[in-house]
Amino acid sequence: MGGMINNRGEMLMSSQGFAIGKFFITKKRVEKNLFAYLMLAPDIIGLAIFIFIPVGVALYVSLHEWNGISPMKFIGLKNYATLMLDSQWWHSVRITIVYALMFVPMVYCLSLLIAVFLNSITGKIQGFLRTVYFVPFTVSTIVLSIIWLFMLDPRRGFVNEFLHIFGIPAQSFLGNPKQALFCIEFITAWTLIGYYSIIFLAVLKDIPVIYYEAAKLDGANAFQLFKSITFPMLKEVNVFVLVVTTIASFQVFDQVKVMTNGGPAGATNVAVFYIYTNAFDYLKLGYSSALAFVLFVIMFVFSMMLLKITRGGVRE
Amino acid sequence: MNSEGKLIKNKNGQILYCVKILGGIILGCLFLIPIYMLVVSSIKPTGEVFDLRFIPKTISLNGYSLILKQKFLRYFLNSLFISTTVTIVALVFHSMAGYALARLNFVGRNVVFILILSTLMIPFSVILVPLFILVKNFGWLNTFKGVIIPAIPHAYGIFLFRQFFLTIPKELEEAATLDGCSPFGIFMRIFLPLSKPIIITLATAFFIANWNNYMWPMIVNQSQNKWVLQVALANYIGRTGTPWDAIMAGGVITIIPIVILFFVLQRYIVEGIKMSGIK
Repeated sequence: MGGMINNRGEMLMSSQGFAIGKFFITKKRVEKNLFAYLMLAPDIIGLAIFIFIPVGVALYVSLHEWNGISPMKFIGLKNYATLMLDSQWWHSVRITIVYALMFVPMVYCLSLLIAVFLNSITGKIQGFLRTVYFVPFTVSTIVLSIIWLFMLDPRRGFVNEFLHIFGIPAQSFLGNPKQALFCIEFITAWTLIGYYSIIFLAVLKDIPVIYYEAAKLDGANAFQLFKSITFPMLKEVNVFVLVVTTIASFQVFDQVKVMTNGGPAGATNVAVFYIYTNAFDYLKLGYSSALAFVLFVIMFVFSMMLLKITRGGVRE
Repeated sequence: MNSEGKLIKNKNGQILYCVKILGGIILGCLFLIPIYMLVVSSIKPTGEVFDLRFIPKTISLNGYSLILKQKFLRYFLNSLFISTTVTIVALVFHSMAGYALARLNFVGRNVVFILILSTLMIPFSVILVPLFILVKNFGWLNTFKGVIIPAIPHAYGIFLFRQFFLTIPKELEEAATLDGCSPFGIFMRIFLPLSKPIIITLATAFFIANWNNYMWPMIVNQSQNKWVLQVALANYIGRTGTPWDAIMAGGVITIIPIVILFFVLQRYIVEGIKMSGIK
């Protein structure tokens, strides 16, 4: 690299000084481009090998029947046709959508509420509480699963003991098909709320106090302040939080794998879990790739719809 | 408003403030009690884990000695090695790429930038199977390479470095150029020393993300010697016969490095979260 860098200072000046350099391929321009691409090379090559090529391969594999060992057999769009009629797959998709429809509003509302609350108190206590709410975020999904398997133990768990005080009978939570998905949702939200409230709080802090003071002089109440000043100012961050949580809820996997393994009775067999099972348990690699693409499309449509709604809703 | 009115308002304000703080603390307990229960259960004797006392009747380190006998130290070192390597290499690569995208004029800059950003849209489930095939063909199954190398390229780090480098004043660069400094020299001697905050922010983010990663290390490394903490722990949960206090002790060991990192570098972590959310 040494030779390339020689006389660099002179070179930059000349290319800034003469417009002519833009139109002719000079040695210096080539060197400049070469240097930029050398700096980018490790990451570009990495992303190409580990993301772009795999996407292409996934598309290719999804058109084949393949168990990973015997040679691939080209079957065209048959995998896609099969999945259209795969009731178990659509069950998984339905569960995932139900999960997203509950999870996204829950995380959004609670994080915003906490951020507004934190913003209304000042001083060191604000920073302290912010830290406390954030702590669960640093805990890995696996440890989180351990904690909540313990807390939600059907017979002797903490939560059941707590409910017992109020005379509520013991629940089986993760063992109950009606409760398991909601439990996973609640547990995941518990880790993420602190994270998103930091994002909201950062934006809230940037809203000029003058806006509120002016509105108060005009006699606006707290709700009106929130509706007319705070909420419109959150436009950008709203879109970010809603889209990111939606994408995240379509990808939920680790918690499910560890806590319920898709059960009970398929109640938490979310889409990524179904994809994983097809790939690594049933060794239907082609089929699972097709499923992953369809999930990606569903997720993409959902995100786009969300973008439309949030943009449109704020404008009026 | 007369002074009396103001006084009453202040007093009401103070009561309201106290109620708010109290509410905030109760809420904080909801966030912390589960984690506290993890820690406290890990030092209870096996038979008393489910007594749910906040302060253990008897303290026993049985869980820790059980878990350490299960090669847990080995898994700890594996996790440490993988997370540290990914973090360091990723910082080097992403700072270089971010510098090129922010500060160098080259043909195709916008296209490259958009392509890099577009990778953030690809869900991991789509590339799971091909990535597995790729790593298998490279002969990287059951190696650290197989976990480490695919984890390094990531658009998030490149993007944040770029954003940071864009904020550095042009004058510094121009002065150095006049002094005969090469672009690589400018990167090494001016940009890198100035980027301490973003480096710390990203280092903690990468370290935590890789330390906590479960799915990919589980798929790549089936052989027990190469397990990371998360995979080992997940296996204990699934296996009957591992006592709860040992699992809890494993959990505590797993979160200790992260908790230390978090409290030492909290300021930078919060900065990073804000950057990713707003810009």
